[in-house]
Amino acid sequence: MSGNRDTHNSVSGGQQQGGVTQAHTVNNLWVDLSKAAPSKPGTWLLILEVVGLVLAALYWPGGPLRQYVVFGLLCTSALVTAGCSVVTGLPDRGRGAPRPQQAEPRDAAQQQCGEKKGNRRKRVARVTFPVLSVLFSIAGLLAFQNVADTGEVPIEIRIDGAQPLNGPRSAPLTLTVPTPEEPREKLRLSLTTVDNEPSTGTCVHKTTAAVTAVTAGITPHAYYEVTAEDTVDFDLGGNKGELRFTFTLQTEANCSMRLAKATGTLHN
Amino acid sequence: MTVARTGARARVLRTATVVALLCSLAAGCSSKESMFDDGKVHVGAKGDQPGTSFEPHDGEFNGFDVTVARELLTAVDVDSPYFSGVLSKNRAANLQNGDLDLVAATFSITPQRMKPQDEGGEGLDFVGPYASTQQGILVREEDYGQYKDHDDLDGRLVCVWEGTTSAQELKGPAYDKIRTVEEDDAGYCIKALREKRVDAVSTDQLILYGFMNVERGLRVVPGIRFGEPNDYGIAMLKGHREDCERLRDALRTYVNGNDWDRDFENNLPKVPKADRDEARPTPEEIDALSCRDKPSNAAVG
Repeated sequence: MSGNRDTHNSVSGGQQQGGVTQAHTVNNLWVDLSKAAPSKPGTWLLILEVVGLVLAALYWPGGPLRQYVVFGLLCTSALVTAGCSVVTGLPDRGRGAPRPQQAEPRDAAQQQCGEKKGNRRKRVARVTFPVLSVLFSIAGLLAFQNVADTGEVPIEIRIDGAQPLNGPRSAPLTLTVPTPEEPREKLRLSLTTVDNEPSTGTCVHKTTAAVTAVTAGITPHAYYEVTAEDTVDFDLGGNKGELRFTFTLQTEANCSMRLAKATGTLHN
Repeated sequence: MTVARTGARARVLRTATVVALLCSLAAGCSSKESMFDDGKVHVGAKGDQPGTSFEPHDGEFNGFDVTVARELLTAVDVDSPYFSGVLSKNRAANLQNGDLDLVAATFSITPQRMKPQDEGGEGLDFVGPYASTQQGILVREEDYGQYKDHDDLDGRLVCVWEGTTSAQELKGPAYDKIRTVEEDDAGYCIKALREKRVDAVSTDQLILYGFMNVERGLRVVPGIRFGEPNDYGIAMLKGHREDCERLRDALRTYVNGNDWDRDFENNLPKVPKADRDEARPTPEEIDALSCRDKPSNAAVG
């Protein structure tokens, strides 16, 4: 740790000035960090948390970002406390340097007292930050696991059948949800029906559809008044495989419509 | 003394100039809250569609579109709107370049026209529908018996005019056996039909019934209809939502009373009762299509 002592001397001794002093200080801080790193718990925590984040990114379950808010907050807290832990784990800078000789005895006593208080505070911080960081990391891991197990999973839906859908007697379309990698209890379907030709009259406000489950066990069995831009929610009744629905348009004669978009979200 | 008087005059002049400048600035800065504020509203209407939007003499407009526009504007305290002629193909452009405040010219409400310009649409708000109709055909009376359904139009030459949903509809693959010719406006197509240069004229049935009322020897074929129903709206450029909503409320009131029936009957007497009932808008339809960037969902439940 002689390097550390050099650093203290060079800073507190006031031999150098301005930018040179600052540059030197930064260089020495880096030296301190690199020397202290392997032996300090804060540094290890920081490394482990970064590795954990990389793994989380690799195994990211997907879905809307809002479900990762808690995970994000916990990760940030874990990283910040680990960072604090690294900083508090660094050797003293300036405080341990020799005091000016001309200090009064009373001042020296006060200084000693202050140093004791400072050391106590520092000891507390050295314990508190790593503990907090570990707790935040564990909570973050649990939050991530929770999202992975129960969070929303977007799923592609295949639309089969002839489009456009002309008038009230058009043949139904089939919506197929492939077997999900991560099964959930419910499926939210978002459907968008548009005019086949946007530059002619519109039938959007005269159009509804019936969405009926073909796969057994799904409840409700059907929604009969699904509007042009609508979302419906089905309980999958334990189905974990491929799911099928029919989409039957209800519109006026001469209306030509198209199911433009069908997106699914699996959730619990 | 002369110097003193000159100085006083200069001061008065300076003050007057400053006051005048301030007044003009105030006038320039005060934004026009509503297009109805000064009572000067320029409305575009068609000039060649008897019954719907017609200009029998210079500056004199009549027809169902014109009547509806007058009624709604009266409800928002605009008693003397200025009507001027507009071609179908120029309706949106004349609103976009500020030549017109409103267009009441059998203008169909479409998703493309409602969509804001920054999303690739035409950026218009509509007050409507004030009438709904479907595309049909008008033929010479002597040929009337030859037309019963769509197949009878195969190989025939049908006249449509530019900038209309009717022209757009017949370009669809479902009608690829029908030959079409595009003219500048309705009058040219009617003339071509009379002169036997085309076999039929195709546009909205309400417009065709308007022609049938004044053009002897021409007849609408009721059984032949095309495409989606056309809902007519009074169009304005987006950015006047409050004015739009005032007109929408006036339209609701107008349709709920007897005025709509009276004006429809007076302007389009040849429209059969069943078609008139279909043409009459419901309050739900008015809510779904008025003052919006896209048509709203159907009212359910």
